[in-house]
Amino acid sequence: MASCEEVGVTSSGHQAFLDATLPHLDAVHRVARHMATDPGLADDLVQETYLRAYAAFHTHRGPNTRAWLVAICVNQARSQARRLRRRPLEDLGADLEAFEEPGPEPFQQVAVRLDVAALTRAIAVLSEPQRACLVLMELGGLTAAETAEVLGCPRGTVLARVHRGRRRLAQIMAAERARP
Amino acid sequence: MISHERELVAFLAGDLEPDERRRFDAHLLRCDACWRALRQDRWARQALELLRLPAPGGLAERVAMGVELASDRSPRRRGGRVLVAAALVAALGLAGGLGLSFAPSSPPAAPRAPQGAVGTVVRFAQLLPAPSQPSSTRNGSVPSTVGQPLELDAGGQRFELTYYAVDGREEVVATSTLMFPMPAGGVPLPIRQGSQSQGWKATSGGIQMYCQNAPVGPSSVLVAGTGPISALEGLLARIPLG
Repeated sequence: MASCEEVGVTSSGHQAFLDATLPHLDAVHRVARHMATDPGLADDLVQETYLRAYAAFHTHRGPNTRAWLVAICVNQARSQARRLRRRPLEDLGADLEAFEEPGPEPFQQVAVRLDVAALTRAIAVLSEPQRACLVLMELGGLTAAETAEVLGCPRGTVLARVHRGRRRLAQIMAAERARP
Repeated sequence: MISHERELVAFLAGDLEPDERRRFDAHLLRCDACWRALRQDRWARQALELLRLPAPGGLAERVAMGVELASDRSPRRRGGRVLVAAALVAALGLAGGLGLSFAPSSPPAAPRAPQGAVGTVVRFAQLLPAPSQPSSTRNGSVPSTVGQPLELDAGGQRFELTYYAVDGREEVVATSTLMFPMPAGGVPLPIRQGSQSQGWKATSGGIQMYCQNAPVGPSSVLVAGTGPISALEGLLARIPLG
C-alpha cells in the first residue's frame, strides 16, 4: 500500500489520492460503522472522510495513511456528535464496579453463537473514550501508539481503555445470554 | 477496577520484562479476579474478529466518484464544493441503504459526454440499479420518490435531483429554473401547439434523457434513466412537479 510519499505525490491528483487511500477503505468503514452517531450513516461518514482527506491530501506527509484517514473519520464522527448535542461520556473506572461480582461467562457455554448485531449494540453502549480506543485498535487495525496519537492521549491510557472496553463487552454479552 | 489492572494491561500488551512476566504468571494462578479479567479480555478480542468486515459493495465506487466530482471543481471554490460533493454522493447512500445494488448499467461516458448539469445527471443515472422486473410488466403504478432530493450546482446551474421508482425501475428527475442545454447528438422535440416548452431527447453513456425546458416559468425538467424515452416521458407525465 503506497503512502503519498511513495507515489511521489505533491499535487492533489485524484487518482493518486485514490491509489493511496482506497486500500484502507475497509478499515475506515469499520471505524465509521462504530463511531458514527447513527450506524446507518456510516457510509456517509466514510464519504465525508474521503472528501476531507482529498482536500487535505497535499499536506499529508506522514507514512501512515491509514491512521491519517482514521483520524479524519474520528474527528468527523465527533463533530457530528457535537452537532447532535451528545456529549462524550467520561471514562469512569467505577463503571466496572457493578460487574465485578462473578457471573455467567460467555466462554463457559458449550455452544457460543455470537450475534454480530448484539456485539455491535454492546460496543455502542461503551463510553466514548473506551469505544474510540477499542474501535481504532480492534477494527481499524491501528497499534496502541497510533491510536494514542490519533486520540491525543498516552499509549498507556489507550491500553487501559481497550482492556476495560473488552471486559465490558464480555460482561454485557454474558448478561444478555443470562436473560431468560 | 481490579487491584493489579495496570500490571494486567502491561502483561496483555507484552510490555512486561521477562522476570516481571514470570511473576505475573504466578500471580494469575492465585488471583481469581485477575484471571477472570484476563479471560474476559481474551474472549472479547476473539469475538471482535466477527466485526472485522469489509466495506459494503459499491462503496469504493461511490467514494471514487465523489472524489472525482470534487476534483472537477475549481480550486477557488474547492472548500464549499467538496462538501456539496459529499452531500450529493452521500445521498446515493440513502438508495444504497434500501438494499439496492449499484452497478453502472453501461460503461462510462464517451469522450464527448455532456458537461455541467446534464453531465452530472447522466453520471447519477449511470449508478441506478438494474430494473427488478421487465418493463413489459408495467402496470401504471404511482411513482414514488427514493431518498431525499439533492440540491446541486454544476457548471453554474443549480438544480434539484430526485430519484423516482416506478414499476420496478428507477429514474432520475432533475428540475431547474434554468433550461437544461441539449447535449451534442440530442434531438429537439416538436413544439406542441399552445406550449412554450422547448424539449429535447438524447442518449449518452447508455443513459436516455428526456427534457422539457420552460423558457419562462418555475421549472425545466430533465428525466434520465436506462429505460426507453417513452418510459421517461411517461414518468414525467405522472410525477407531481411544483
